[in-house]
Amino acid sequence: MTNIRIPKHILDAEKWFFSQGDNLELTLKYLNKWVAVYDERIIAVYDAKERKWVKLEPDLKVDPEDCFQWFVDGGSRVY
Amino acid sequence: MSIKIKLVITRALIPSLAEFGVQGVRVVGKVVFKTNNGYSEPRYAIIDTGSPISIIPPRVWTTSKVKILKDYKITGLVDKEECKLPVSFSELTCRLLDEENITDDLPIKADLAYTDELPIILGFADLLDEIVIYIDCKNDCAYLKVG
Repeated sequence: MTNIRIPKHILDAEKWFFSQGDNLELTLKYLNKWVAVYDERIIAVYDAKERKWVKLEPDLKVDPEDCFQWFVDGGSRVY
Repeated sequence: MSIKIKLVITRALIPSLAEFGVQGVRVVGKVVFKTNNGYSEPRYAIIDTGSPISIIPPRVWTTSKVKILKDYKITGLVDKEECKLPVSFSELTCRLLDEENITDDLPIKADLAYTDELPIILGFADLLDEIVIYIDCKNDCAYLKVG
């Protein structure tokens, strides 16, 4: 069986992100987008049309693919 | 022997109903998909008991091992042509996991979407219809029992 480990920095990012439930500003800013979270902040947004991550802090040496990723869906969307 | 996989109950204010304090509640779980040389990174998926078939966005399935069976269009609540989403009904393999446990390979049939403007949605076909789902929002407890 392949060992799939969930890194601690991912678990920490999840914990932070899920604690933001009342943060309406965050939801509105990133609504219907994939975001990457690192060190208790959103460091990149996925450009669905260009199919690439756009870093919010270009100098930060963190790959969004190694971060916790989440689709901000606003809660009531019907797909 | 069955495996218990913990789920997470998330809550976020619904923007258009924020003045009423209404929160959108989601039950989500971690999933990996089989690729040509192993498995993808773990990602969260919405456990959607309203979805007959799982839906996977391209940023996930393009690196997965898939077998496309049929192209067609799916529709949501509004049955209008402009609201239809083109997808490919396909076979792929996933595993569900939490911090402690992981299932064996689960071969599933899912709709592969062609837009990344949606989350990963896990529905019934070959997946939720094969496992036990327990959700207790009041006590913030949810899990899947597989096998």
